[in-house]
Amino acid sequence: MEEGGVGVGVTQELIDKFLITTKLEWVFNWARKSSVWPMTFGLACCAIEMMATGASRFDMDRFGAGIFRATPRQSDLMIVAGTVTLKMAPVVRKVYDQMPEPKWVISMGACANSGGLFNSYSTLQGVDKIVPVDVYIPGCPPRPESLLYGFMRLQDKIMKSSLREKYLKEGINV
Amino acid sequence: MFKREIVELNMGPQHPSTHGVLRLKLKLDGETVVDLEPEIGYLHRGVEKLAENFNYLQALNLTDRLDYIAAVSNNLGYIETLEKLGGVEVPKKAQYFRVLLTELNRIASHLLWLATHALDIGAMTVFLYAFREREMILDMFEMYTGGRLLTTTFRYGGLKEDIPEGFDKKVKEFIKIFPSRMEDYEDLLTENRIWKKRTVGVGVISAEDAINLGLSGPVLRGSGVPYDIRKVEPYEVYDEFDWEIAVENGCDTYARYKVRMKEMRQSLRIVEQALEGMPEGEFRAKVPKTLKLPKGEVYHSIEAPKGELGYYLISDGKGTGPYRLKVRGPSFVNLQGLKPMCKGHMVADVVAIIGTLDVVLGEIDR
Amino acid sequence: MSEELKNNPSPEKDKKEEVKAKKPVEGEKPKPAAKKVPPKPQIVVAPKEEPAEDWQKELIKKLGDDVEEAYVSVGEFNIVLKNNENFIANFENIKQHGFDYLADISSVDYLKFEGAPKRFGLSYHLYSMNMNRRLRVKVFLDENEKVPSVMDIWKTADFHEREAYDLMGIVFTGRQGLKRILLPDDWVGHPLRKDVDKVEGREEYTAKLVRKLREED
Repeated sequence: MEEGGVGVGVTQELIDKFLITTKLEWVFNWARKSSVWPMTFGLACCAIEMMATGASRFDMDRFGAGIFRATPRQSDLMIVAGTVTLKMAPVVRKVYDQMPEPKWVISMGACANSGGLFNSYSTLQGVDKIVPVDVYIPGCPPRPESLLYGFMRLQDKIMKSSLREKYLKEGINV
Repeated sequence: MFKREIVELNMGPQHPSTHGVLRLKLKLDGETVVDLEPEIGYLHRGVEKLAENFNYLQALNLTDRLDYIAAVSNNLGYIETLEKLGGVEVPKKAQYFRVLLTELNRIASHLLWLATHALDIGAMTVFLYAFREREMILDMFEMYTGGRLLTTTFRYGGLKEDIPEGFDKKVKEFIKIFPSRMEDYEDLLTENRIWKKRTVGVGVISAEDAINLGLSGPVLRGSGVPYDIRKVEPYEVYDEFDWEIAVENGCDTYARYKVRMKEMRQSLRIVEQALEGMPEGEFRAKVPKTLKLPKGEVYHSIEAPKGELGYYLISDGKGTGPYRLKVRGPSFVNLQGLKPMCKGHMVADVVAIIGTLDVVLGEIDR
Repeated sequence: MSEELKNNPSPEKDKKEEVKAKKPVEGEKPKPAAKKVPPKPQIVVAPKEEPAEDWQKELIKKLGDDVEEAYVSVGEFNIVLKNNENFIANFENIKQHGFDYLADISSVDYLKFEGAPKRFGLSYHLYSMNMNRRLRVKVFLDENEKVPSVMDIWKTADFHEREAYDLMGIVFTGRQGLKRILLPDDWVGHPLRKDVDKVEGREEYTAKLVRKLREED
């Protein structure tokens, strides 16, 4: 700090104690990963395990994702929990489109990953055919621990995301 | 002065209180429901078609995923249907243990109903409380079957394996704790003024209409009809236990709430007796490794937590799998009660009435 | 009275024996002769017994000539009804007999089932609340044969009949709102039929769906 500049009265001691320097990107990502708002999007059996994850014993709130929103407009994570049927598929896509950026998708359980047990006439064989998926969680249904682990991997992914790349994609030169 | 207009409102399939992917088309006059049509099939996975392509044991996995909250009951109904056609005698020990697990599952199912129903109406605490006790039951399932939710529990002729050591200790602990927890829920709800305002007189259906509509389970018993298959056509060893059918005459949402609360207590009584009277001996009858059933057809129904769960099985005597397996899901039929119950009520009451019917979409759409 | 009772079941008995005699001769013998490879294992058939209880006999008598066959198998009482102009009246009769609870209507495709008289079948599972009795009423249908709806008698039939129409393609007459219930409205075909594969129609529908979603983007 130069004398007489903006930092008048700010001593070196204060700077060491209270200021940190970091990248803007890191702050953005850290804030995003620490308060993910998932959407209640239960489709089938996995939804019950998703509820259990949010309830008293497993408590997803510990990871900053406890507030399950009922509307896509307020959420940034869609956990596709359960079988996506052909009748439901357009709805899944519509809900995904309604979510604001940035947004992520977790495909929970065998059915959402690949159709699973239900290799039948009416089920969509994998939700990745209609929406981009970030994390796949295996299991039928996955245990709450699996969901938590999958969620932590998503947090890792969020930390690695780049602001620059995103803006370049949208045509804004940084 | 103002023009009155009937407004059509779409509720679901993505809606927090429709318990999955139920979609309702409401016709509203102001805020009053004039007409309503449930639109289902958003979870139609082709279970019945798949069962025809599977063998008898593989099809057991499908039954788990029908009513995924009460997987044990679904397994029991299916396995009993096979046993009825195959004419096999199940050892006493297996029967006792089947009853024990099924009743624990009934409590778990009712706890989940209580949690979500209360959450829909606005009581958050009950949700957290009920899930706490539900986890205790899921732990027991995990100990025996390895699965928390989808259990694939029973096998043709008896049990998958013997009862594990230390299982009875867990059950005893649950029996000790649960009654006081039940009191906690009731303290929060039964005499709660908000709870009563939201449930008393909401979703009334008379006994006559309920029978005509084919309703079953707690919904029918809430209208004063003592129809419980465990009593009227006892399967397994239900006739050896001392318990009562839970019936209420209120015909409304509050009555159905009380029926389910009573039922949990009765289930706990059965669990207690089943654990005490658990006989020694074989856990499975001698059955061939590849299951083949005689040519014929059979309909068998049991009392699942939601109501009458029936399986209609046709065997052609040649294959090792069902020729046709039709599932009579209680929720599928109970959903028909939604329309007469909702007419004339407010939109907010529709949420309460869906909750009181306790529908599970996996079973409705199959 | 006793003579009537005696007269009535006897034709049924003859018919049943005929059917039984036909089954092994027509259905079973030609196939091993044609294939020749493994000797076919003996098919065990669940035995059919004569209805013995009074109420069963009474009900059969009440329905009269419209009963094609009546038997008890695996402890369950079955009545096979004809699909004729008395169909609805017969069901009203059955309801007056105490069967006030319609548990289920199941549709069956008997295409690959040996010994079935017609292509499709419907099974009505009835229960009597007061007397604690169960009854299965069966009716066999040819392809494209329509059947009257029982919705006026039991309201619960609504969903069951719509399901049978949706998945099996059985058309019910005399009722409103017979449309698809489980599958999407633009679905083609009836997947529970035995000549339809378990994944038939899926890939086409998925491709159509993905194309539509791409266009919207």
